[in-house]
Amino acid sequence: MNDDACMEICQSPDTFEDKLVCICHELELALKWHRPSFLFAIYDTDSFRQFAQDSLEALIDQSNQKVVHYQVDSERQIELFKFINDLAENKSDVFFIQSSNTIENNIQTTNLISMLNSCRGFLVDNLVRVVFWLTENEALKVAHLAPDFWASRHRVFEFIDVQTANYATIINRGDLNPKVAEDQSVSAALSLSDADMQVESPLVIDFSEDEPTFSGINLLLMLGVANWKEGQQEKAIEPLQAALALAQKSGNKSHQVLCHKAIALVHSESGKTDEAIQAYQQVIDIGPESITIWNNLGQLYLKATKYDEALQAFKNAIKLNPNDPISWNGLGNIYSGIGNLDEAINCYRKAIQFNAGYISPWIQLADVLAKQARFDDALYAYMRIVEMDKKNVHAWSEIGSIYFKARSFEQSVGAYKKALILGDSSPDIHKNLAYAHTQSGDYAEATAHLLKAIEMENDENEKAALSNMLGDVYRRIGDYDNAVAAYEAADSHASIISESDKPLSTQAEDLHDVSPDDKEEFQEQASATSSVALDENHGMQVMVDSENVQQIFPVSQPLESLGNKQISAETTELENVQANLENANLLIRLANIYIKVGAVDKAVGALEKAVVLDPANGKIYYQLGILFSQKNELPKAILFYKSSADLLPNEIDKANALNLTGDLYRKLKDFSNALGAYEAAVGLDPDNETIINNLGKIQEDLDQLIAGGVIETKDQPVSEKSFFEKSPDNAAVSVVATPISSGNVGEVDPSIKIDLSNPDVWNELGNIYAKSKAYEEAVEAYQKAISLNPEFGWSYSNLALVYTFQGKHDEAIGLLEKSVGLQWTDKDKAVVWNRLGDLLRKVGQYPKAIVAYQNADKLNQYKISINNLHEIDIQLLFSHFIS
Amino acid sequence: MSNFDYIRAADFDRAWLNFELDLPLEPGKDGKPNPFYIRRPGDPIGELNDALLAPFYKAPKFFFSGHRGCGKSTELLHLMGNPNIRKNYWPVNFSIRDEADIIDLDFRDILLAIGGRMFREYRRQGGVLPARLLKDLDGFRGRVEEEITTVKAGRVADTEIGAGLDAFFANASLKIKLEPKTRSIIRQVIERDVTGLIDVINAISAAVKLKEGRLPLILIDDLDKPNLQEAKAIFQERREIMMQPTCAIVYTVSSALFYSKDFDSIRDRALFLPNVKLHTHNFPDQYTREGYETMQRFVSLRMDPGLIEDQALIEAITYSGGVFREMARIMRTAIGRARRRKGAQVESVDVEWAATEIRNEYRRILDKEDLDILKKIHEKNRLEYNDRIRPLLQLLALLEYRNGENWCDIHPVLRKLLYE
Repeated sequence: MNDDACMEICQSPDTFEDKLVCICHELELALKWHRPSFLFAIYDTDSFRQFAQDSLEALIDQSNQKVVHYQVDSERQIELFKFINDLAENKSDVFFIQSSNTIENNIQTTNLISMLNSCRGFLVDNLVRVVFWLTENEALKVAHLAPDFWASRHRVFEFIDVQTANYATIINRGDLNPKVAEDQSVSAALSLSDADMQVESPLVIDFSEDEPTFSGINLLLMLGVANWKEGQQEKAIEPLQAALALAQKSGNKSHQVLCHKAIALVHSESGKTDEAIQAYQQVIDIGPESITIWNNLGQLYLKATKYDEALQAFKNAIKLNPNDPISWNGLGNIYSGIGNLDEAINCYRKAIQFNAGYISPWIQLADVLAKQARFDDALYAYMRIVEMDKKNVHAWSEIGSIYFKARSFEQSVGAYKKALILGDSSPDIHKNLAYAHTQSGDYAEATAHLLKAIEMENDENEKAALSNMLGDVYRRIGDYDNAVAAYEAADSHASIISESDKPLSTQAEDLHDVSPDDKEEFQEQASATSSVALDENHGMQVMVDSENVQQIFPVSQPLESLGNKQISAETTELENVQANLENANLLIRLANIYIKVGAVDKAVGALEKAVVLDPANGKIYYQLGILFSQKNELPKAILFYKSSADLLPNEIDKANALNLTGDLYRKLKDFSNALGAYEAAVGLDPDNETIINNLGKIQEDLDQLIAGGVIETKDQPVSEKSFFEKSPDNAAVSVVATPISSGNVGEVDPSIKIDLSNPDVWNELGNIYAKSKAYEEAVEAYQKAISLNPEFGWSYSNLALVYTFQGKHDEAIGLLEKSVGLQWTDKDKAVVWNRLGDLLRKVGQYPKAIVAYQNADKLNQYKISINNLHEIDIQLLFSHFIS
Repeated sequence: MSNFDYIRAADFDRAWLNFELDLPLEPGKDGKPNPFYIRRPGDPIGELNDALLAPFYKAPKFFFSGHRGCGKSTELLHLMGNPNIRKNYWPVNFSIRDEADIIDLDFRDILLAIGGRMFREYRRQGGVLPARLLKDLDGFRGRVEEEITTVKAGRVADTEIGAGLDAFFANASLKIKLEPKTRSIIRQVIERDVTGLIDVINAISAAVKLKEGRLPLILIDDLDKPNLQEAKAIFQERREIMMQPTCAIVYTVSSALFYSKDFDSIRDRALFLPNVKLHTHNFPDQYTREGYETMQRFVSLRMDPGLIEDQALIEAITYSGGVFREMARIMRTAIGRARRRKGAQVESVDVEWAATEIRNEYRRILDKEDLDILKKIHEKNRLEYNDRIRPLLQLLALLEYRNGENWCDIHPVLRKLLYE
C-alpha cells in the first residue's frame, strides 16, 4: 500500500462498529490465551457511553461472555480489587468499570486511578479483562497519575467519533430538552453525509434484511438519525421502524430497545409527545426497567403537562434507584412547574445530595430560592454553580443581581462583568451594569453601558427608558447638554411607540402622549406621596430602607397628626370606589382610609374583599385581627392572628402575631393557649422583651391560678399595634391604625362616618382613583382636597400628574409651579422641580426643563434620588430586566 | 507465567499473545536465557553483571535505572538466571508491588520486604534456618504483634515457629500493602527499632550464606514506580540505612531519581539501561543498523517473519523508537488489525493504523505546551532534564538515548502530531 493510501486510512477513524468489534477481538484473544486485557474506552458524553456499553455488551453476550458492571463510588472503591478477585474465578467475565461523575466520585476516581498504578500486577495476576470507561479528563488523569498503568494499556478506543456516534448520543442521551438538539455543536456533530454512508464499512457489507445483523440494524438507525438531522422526521421514522423490525426478527432485545429509544427521540423532537411516550412504554414493556427511560418519560409527560404521569414516572425511576439525581431533579421540575416551590427545593436538594456535581439541580434550586426572595441561600447556590462551572453566565448574572439587591454594588459590578466577559451578549447585562455603576457613583461607566444597551436594544420602549436614564446620569454629572440630548432621544423613542402602537381604544389614558414609563412613575409616585398603613408591595422584596423611601417620596402630612377624629360624613364615594376595586393592594389602601377615620366595619369589609383577592397575604389577616380585636370579637381576632402567623414571611412578624394571639387568649382567660402562643412567639423572636415579659406574666398568672388565686386581667393592655409599626421594611409608610389598647377596644362606633372635610382623605382617595386609572374621579378628589386646604402642596402636584396623563400639560405645569411654592422643605421642592422638569421636557420646552432640573439638583444637595434614577425605579426596572 | 510456552508464532493469534506487553521473560530452569530474550547492543547489563561478580569488601548495592518499557524487569530476570551470578549468589527477585503499596512507600516497607521475602523464599526452597535465629525472629515478631494485633499469625507452638514467622511476614506484607492504618502502626514500631529490623535482615542473610555458601542477592523490581519525592526520601534521606543490610541488593530506581543532582554521589553504583538507538544523534534519517537488527530480532523470535512485510517491519521498528514495550504495542495492534481484515501478513497500513492509534492517545494527554517542548527537543535532540520534561519522559513522549553524550528525541509516532 502506498503512502497516500496509508494516510487516507489513518485520517479516517474507525467506525463505531469497528471499535466494538476490535474490543471484542481483544477480549476474546485474552480469554483464549488466558491473558489479562486492559482496555480504555474514552467517551465524551454519558449518553454515548451508555450506548457504546449497551452495544458492546450485546456483542459480548453473543460470544457467551458475561459483562460485570462496576461503578466507582465512595463506598465501593476501596473494595474494587477484592470485588474483582472474588469474581476472577469466572474467567469469562468482562468488567466494565466507570465512575459516577460526581465531585466526590471524581475524588474517588482519582484515588482509584492512583491505586491502579500500584495494583496493576494484581489485575495481571488475576487475568482480569476490563474495559475502563473514562471521560477525557479521567483519561488524562490516568496518564499522569498512573503512568505505569497507562503504559500497561493494551488498547485505547475513543467513543467520541462524530460520524458514527452522534445518532447514538442523541438516542441515548438522558436529557430530552430540545435545546440540546438545537445546540450547534450537536448539530454540527450530526453531519452525516451521503458520502459517509457510502464509506466501505462492515455495516454495508453485513446488511441484509433476510439476515438481520447488528450492523444492519445500526445502519438503519444511522440512516434514520441522519434524516432526522436534516429535519425529515417522517423520513427518519421509516428506517428506524425497519431497524426495529430487523431487531424484532433477530429477537435481540437490546437492539429492539435501542430502536424504540431512537423512535421515541425522533417523535419527541418532532413534537409528537404521545408517540414518543408510546415508544418509551414499549422500551419499558420489553424491559428491564431503566431509570433513564423513566426519566425520559417523566420529561415527556412534563412537556405534555401531564403532571400526575410525570410524577409517577420520576417516582418509578426513584424506586429503581432512590439515589438517582436526575430523577430527583425531574421531580423538582414538576413541583416547580405546579408552583410547589418548597417541595421543589426539597427535590433539588436530594438531587444535589446524590450528585453534588450535577449542575442542573443547583441552577433550578438557585432560581427557585431567588424567586422566593431567599437571596442568601440563592447566592450560595449560585456560588456553587460558578465553582463547578466558572463560565456559567446565568449564575454570574444572578449573583450580580443578588449583590445589587443587597446594595453591594461593587460586587454586583464584578459579577455582571464576569457574565459580560463570558459572553452574555444581551442588552440586559449592560443595563444591569449601568444600574450598578450608577449606584456606586461611577457615572462614566454607567454612561458607557447605557449607550451600549441603547445600541443593542431593539425595543423602542426599552430604548426610551434607557435614554431617559442616560439623561438622568448626565444630569448627575452636570452635563445638561447631553442630558437634554438623551431626553430628546427618549422622547423620540417614546413617540415611535405611541405612533406605532397606538391602540384604537378610546380609553382616556391611551389617547395621551405619555410613555408607559411615565404612567408607572406616576403610579409609584402618587402612591408614595400618600399615607398608607398597609404595604402594597407585600409580594415583592422591597430593598429600600425607610430613610431612602422618605427621601424618594415625600410623605404627605402625616395623618396621625390629625388625631383620631370621630368623623361623621357620607361614605358613599368610598363605597363606590370599593365596589369597583379588584386589586387587593388598593383595597388595603382603602381600608386604611377607613381605619384612619375609625370606620372599622368598612375597613373590615374592604379587607375581607382583599383577602378574597389575595388569600396568601398574611398582612391582611393581621390587620383584620386588629380590627376584630377593636370590635371586641376576640375569637375572630384570634383566628385572623393565627392565620397571619402562618402566612407572614418573616419570623419577627410571626412572633408579633402570636404575641397578640397570646394577649387575646389571656383576655379570654384561656391561660393555657395564651402560654402556648407566647412560647411560640418567644421561640420565633427570642430577643423581644415585650413577648418575654408577657410570657413571664402568663406564667405568673398560671402559678397564681394553681395556687388558687384570682387573676385580674381587665386592665392588662393588649399589645396590639398595626402590623406596620413593627415591620422594618414597611416603616417607610406611616402608621395609621391607632394603637389599640384594651381600654379602647369596643369604644369605636361601628356606624361611624367619614369626615370628608379632611383634605388628606380626599388626597388619598385621589391617589386610589388615579391608581385605578379613574382619572376624572381622581381630579375631583384632588380638587376637593385643594378646596379644603388650598395650601396642600402635594394635592397640586398629584393633580398635575393626573393632568399630565390627561394631556393637560399647561394646567399641569401651572399646578406644579404652584406646588413648588407650597412645599416646605428643599427635598420636597426638589421633587416637584424634578416633576416639572420632566413635564417641560415632555412638551419640548427643553431650556425651561433644564432650569427646572438645575433647580431640583441645586436643592437636592444630598443627591437624593428624585428622578428616574431613584431607588424604587431602579428596583422596578431591575426586577423587570432580570425577571 | 511459568507454564507459558515461549514458542515462535506461526499465526496472528499466537503472535498477538507473544507481543503481550507484560510478558515476563523468566530464564529457563537450567539457567538458559529465555527463548524470547535478546542481547542488547553494547550488552549494558553485562556491566552490572561484572560489577556484581567483582570482589567486594562490603556486600554490593547497585541502583538499576532505565526508562519505562526499556526492559529492566527482563534484564533483572535474565541477571538472576545468569549461571555465574547463581554460582556466587543466592538470588531473590521480587517486585516491590507484591510487598508494599508503591503509592505510599517508605524505606521501612522496603526493609521489611527484604527481610520477609528472603525468609519466605529460603523456606519455600526448603531451607532450614537455625533454631536460635528463629527464636530471635520470633522475638521481633512478638514486639510487632504487641502493638498490632491484626498482623498476628495465630497462636503457634514452639515447634512451628518457622511456619508462624512465614505467616507473620506474609501477613505483615499484606497489611503494609493494603491497609494504610496498619501500615502506619507497623512503620512506627519499626521506626523505634530500625536497627532491630536491620539485624533481622542481616541475621537471615548470614544464616542463608552459612547454609548455602552464597550471599543472598536481592533484586527488587518496580522501585522506580514511586514518585520522585518518595524515591528521594528513601534513597537519599535514608540511603545509609538502605546500604546497611549485609546481603547484596540491586535496587531499581526511576530515571528521574537517577538524573537528580543528589544522586551524583552514588552514580558510580548505578547503571542506566538505555533505549535501543535507532538513528544517530541529530540525524533522524541515518538509521542505526545495530538498533534495527536488535528490534528485528525481538520480532523474529516471537513471530514468524513471514507474517509481516519487510517494509512494515521497518516502519514498526521506526515507530517503536527502540523501546521494547512500544514495539510490542505496535506489533500487537497491527497484528490485531491484520487479523481483522483477514490479511496474510501485517502490512504497512496495519502498522500505520497502530501508530495512528497511539498518536491519538498522546493527542489526548499532551497539551500545547507539551507539544511546543517536544517540537524544540525534536529539532535539537538535546536533553535538558528538568521538571517539565520529566512527565514527558515518564509518558514516553520523549525517549532518551545514549551514545557517548546523552541525547533524546520524541516518540516517533508524535512527529506527525507536532507538525499538523
